[in-house]
Parts: sequence; structure tokens; C-alpha cells
Amino acid sequence: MKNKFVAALGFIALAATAFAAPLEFDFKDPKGVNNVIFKTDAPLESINGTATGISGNVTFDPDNPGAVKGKIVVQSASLHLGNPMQKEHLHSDKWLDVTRYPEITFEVESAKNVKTEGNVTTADVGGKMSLHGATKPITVPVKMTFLKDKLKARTGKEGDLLVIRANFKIRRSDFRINPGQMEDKVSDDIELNLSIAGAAPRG
Amino acid sequence: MRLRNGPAASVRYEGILRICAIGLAVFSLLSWLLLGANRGWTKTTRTRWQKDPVTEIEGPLIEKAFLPGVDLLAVGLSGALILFVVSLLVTKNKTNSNQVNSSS
Repeated sequence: MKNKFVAALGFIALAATAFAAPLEFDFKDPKGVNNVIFKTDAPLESINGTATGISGNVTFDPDNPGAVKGKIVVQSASLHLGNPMQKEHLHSDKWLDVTRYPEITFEVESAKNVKTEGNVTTADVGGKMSLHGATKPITVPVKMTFLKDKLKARTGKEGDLLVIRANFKIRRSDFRINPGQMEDKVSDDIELNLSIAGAAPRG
Repeated sequence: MRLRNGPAASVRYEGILRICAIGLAVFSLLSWLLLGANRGWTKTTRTRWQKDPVTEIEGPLIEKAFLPGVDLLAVGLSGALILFVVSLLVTKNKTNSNQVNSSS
């Protein structure tokens, strides 16, 4: 009897391990809530804008959050500023050149300093960021919140959600965006606040 | 500045110019204040933030809206100042014509 019980427990443990596969989250949000806020604070001008054209996939294992991998894509043309002239300049070939470089991407390669408390994981995620035709390795501190079975409350489908938040800075000169020019109006440092949710439907 | 219709006409022009200057300044200032006192450049959209109850992410809702900025306020106030300066020139012209008339 005891042997059977141990065998059953072993089978359950094995099955649990087998089923605890990493989940693939799709970050194309049908509700259009996913966004990136970008800010530049130069001596003469402060510019704040948003980008909502976000897509991409992230593989996340709740039992092994440090193994996170994936790619987030932002459509360059979705970068929005309230002033139409500023927006036109931003999209033009003098700045982001959105026609030639339609995507801004961040490819996740590794995670360090991974700490998990409950359903929240913080980590320093390393990867490659591509912007304006230049690719640079960067490290981003991220907060990942795994919301098990919460997809139904949002879209009516069974599944899980993964919320990723990150606040970090990049330098436009690193991405060959007018390096050393007009820094009194557009600072070299660009602050980025990323707030995105991905869905992993079941079945 | 020389006005063809003499001192009486210049008084009328001076008054109209000053009323226009004050009107333009008040209109510029009030419209800027009432439409949000935006201290940046003029915007044609407004961003409202709406919180998703499940993910708690605040997403932007971009709406069409005209929000005059300090650039339009500056244009309005500059226009008012120019009108006021022109009215002063008209006054000066009137004074000069009066002096010419009394001396002859």
C-alpha cells in the first residue's frame, strides 16, 4: 500500500513537471491598453509622448521566471505627440525615419538578479534593442506580474496574463539619432516607461 | 504715420486700434486660460488615461482637441502689442498735426 502511494506521488510530481511548460504570451493587445511613454527633458523643451502599436511574444515559465525569452515590437509610426508639427518632425527622416525603420524592437536574451515574491518577479533583463537601424545591447530592470487564470476576466477566454512594467533610459546618440545635435531642445537621454500585458490562452 | 482725413479721423483710428488691442489681448489670454492653460506648444489632441481593471495598466485614449499653447498666446499678445504701438503712433501724428495747425 505504502509503495503504491509513493508511486502515485511520484507520478503526480512527474506529470506536474511535464505540464509546467513555459507559457507563450502574445502582446498584441486587442484593447489597445499596452503602451510606452517616452519623455525627453532638455533645457529649452520637455517632450512627452506615447506609443501604442505594440506586439511580440514572450515565453515565461512561472516556475522558472529567470528563463524568460522573447521579443517586443513597437511600430515606430505609432509614436504620438500632441503637437502635430512635433509629431511630423519625430516621424520624419531627420529623426526616427519611420518609413525606413518601421519597427523598434527589444529582444530578451537573459535575466539576472531574479527575485520572485508571490506572482511578482523582478529581474534585470538583458537583450538587444533595435531603433533607427542601430542595435545595442541593453539591460532593463523589469517587473513581471503573472496573473493566472485572469485572461477570462479580460477577454472571456480561458488563460493567463503576464503584465510587464519597465522604466529605463536610452541615449538617442547610441542609436544614431542626430548625435550631439539640438540637445538644448531634445535631450540625449530618453526616458521610457513600458506598461504591457500579454495573453496566453488555453485550449 | 500720416492720415489723410486729419486729426478727427486719427482720434477715431486711435480708439479703434486700442479697443482691438485690448480685445485681442483679452481674447488670447482668456481662450488660453479657459482651454486648459497649456504651458507647452499648441496641441490638436488630448491624451486621457484609462485604467484596465484586470491588468491595472493605464492606457492612453487619444482624443481630438484643440489646446492652445504658449505659442498661440504669444502670437495673440504680440498682435495686441503691435496694435497698441500703432495706436500710439497715430496719437503722435495727431499731436504733430495739431502743433503744425496752431503755428500756422
